[in-house]
Amino acid sequence: MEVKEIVFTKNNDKLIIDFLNKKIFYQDIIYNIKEDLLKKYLKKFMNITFNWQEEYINNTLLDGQSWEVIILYNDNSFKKYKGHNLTPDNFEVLKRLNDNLLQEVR
Amino acid sequence: MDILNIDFKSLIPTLVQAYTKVYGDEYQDLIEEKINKAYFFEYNNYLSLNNYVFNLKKVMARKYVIRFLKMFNIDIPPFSDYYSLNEDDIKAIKGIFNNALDAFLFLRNDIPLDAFKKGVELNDKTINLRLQLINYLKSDNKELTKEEFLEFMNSSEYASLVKKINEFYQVYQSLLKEYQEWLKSLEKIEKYIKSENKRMNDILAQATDEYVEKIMFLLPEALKQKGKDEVKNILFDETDISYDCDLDFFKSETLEEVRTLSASEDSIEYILLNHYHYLLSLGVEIPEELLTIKNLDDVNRYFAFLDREDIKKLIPSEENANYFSFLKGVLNKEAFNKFYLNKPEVKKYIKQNRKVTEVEINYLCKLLKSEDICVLYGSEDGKTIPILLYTINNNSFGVLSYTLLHEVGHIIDFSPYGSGFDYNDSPVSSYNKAFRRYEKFNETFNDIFCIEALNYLQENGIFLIEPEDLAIKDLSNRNSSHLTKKILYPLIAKYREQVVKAKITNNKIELTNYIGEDNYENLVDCLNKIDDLTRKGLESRLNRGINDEIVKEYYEALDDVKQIYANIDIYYNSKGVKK
Repeated sequence: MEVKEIVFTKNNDKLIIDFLNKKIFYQDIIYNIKEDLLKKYLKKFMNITFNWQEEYINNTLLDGQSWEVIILYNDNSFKKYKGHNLTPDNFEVLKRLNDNLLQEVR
Repeated sequence: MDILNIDFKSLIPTLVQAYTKVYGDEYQDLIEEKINKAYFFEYNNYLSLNNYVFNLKKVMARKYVIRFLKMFNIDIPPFSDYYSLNEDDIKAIKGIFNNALDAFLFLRNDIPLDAFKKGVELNDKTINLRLQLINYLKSDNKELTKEEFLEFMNSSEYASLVKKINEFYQVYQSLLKEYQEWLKSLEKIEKYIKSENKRMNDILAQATDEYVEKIMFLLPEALKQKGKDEVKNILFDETDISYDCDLDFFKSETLEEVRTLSASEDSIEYILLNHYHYLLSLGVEIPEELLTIKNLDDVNRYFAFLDREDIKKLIPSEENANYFSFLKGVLNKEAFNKFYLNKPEVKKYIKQNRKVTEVEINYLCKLLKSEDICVLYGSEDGKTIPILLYTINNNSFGVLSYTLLHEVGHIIDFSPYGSGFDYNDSPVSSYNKAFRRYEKFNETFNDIFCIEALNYLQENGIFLIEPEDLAIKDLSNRNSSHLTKKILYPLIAKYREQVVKAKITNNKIELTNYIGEDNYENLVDCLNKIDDLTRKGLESRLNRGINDEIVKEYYEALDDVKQIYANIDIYYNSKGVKK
């Protein structure tokens, strides 16, 4: 199945990678992105999220941060990962990947 | 305020002042005691700081655009929260700069203005840029085509417009110079970001080298022969030890998922893709017909292929693959811990807390990795104290002061058993198991009072961390939804003193004595329900006038809330403790 869009949300922060139109939407700026960059990104993204569970929850912290990663496919099906006060071990790798992507397009 | 090293201690008197104003003078000593007891731990994440700096540049770039345009009587209202330009504004910016951000933020030198620079070659691109600007400035609003423009360039009207453009250009250059001067103020933080980025990359590169070094002797001969550098390229290409490599897909757990078809179709496809990549690097292509696995026959065929003598000797044994994966995990964890434990702020924390255990340090590293902003339990001289973990994350721009005040709100309510209306041993919410039952109730109250504290400070010209022009004004939907805040306002209006006392003492009885325990619990339920509905898209539905199940549930909840408040009145008048 082909990926149409990936949406990352952490509290009020949202990053949308639109594979169809080759655009990135982040903090009210729209960036164009080249196909080869998108392909490299997707390869790494799949690598990072391959073993993720659907949900990560830690109810013991006072105060909290919620996050969500949604992968939308061309056939309109989707896969969702989410969490509250807990992230997969390699969540930071995804953050680095996303921030490096933004650096490339800025 | 230096955002790399926020001086929390210096802010304490102001924090006390703000919350005393909100909660009442009678609580001043308690507030002061609680805040002074807390440990403020600011840690920095270079990636988020990078984003924060970008936002700073964006705000400043926009200011320069406004200044520039104002000089030519093009009056654009100040951007608020970076949004909402009207059509005329966009036309003005587009005409002169193409994209407002390009000129200043990205420092691109191919904006329409630049096309009129002396000595610029006239080509398709520069002609188009000139055309863009000329069409904007022409007084008759009649847009020229490219062909008409080439003729127009010989006219006196064009000459007069070029004179005007040259004036624009002078102003633009001086503002650009000013902006570039301002950029120098960011040098310290950008240097820090760069050095942390390098430090992380170096640590990961080192760990990746170590991993390859350690597994070389166990690798299949065909791979071993390629040498360490080539092996590193095959396994990690443009990645590092923090990513899975092909070897990970030969471990028992992963192969079992394929054997038993317990993984999803996508996952199996992905596993096989990595097998394919691995064998291809050794000159062997897995036949295409084997790469689709839908049933046990397909599984058997695939594993029969992997069991072939000529293939088997190329792939790692399951035992070795398990070890490779385990070792990678260990080295990866060590690498990240090395990165975090050598941060100056972390070293300082560990030094100051000599009794902190290895388990606690690992837990702390985990929290730092996830960029958590929260209040933790710590201990000092046998007493439980709150530790505030504070950082600038991607969500922080414009709300640094709000975030601090919010966390301080929790610190004030802090006890060994919980904070405010929330308790450590609280069951989970029946609407969303991600949250404790009283968590969102507590968060909403905390946000309401935090906003009061923030408004008090800002009305008195006090901006704790970020200056006024950066602070986001509308915080009604920050953290908790305004829809959940709405249902608590009537309680605060009538029982403010009781709400405050219950919150600060982490003892709901101070409130339930007046309003009734059942009513309290029912209100908690309603809030949890509405909070859950907001996570399902309630707000956008209300904004678009949609009336579906979610909206219907919301209005039913509002009816319940109305009834609860009526019941509270009955309770107070009949059985409740009198104010």
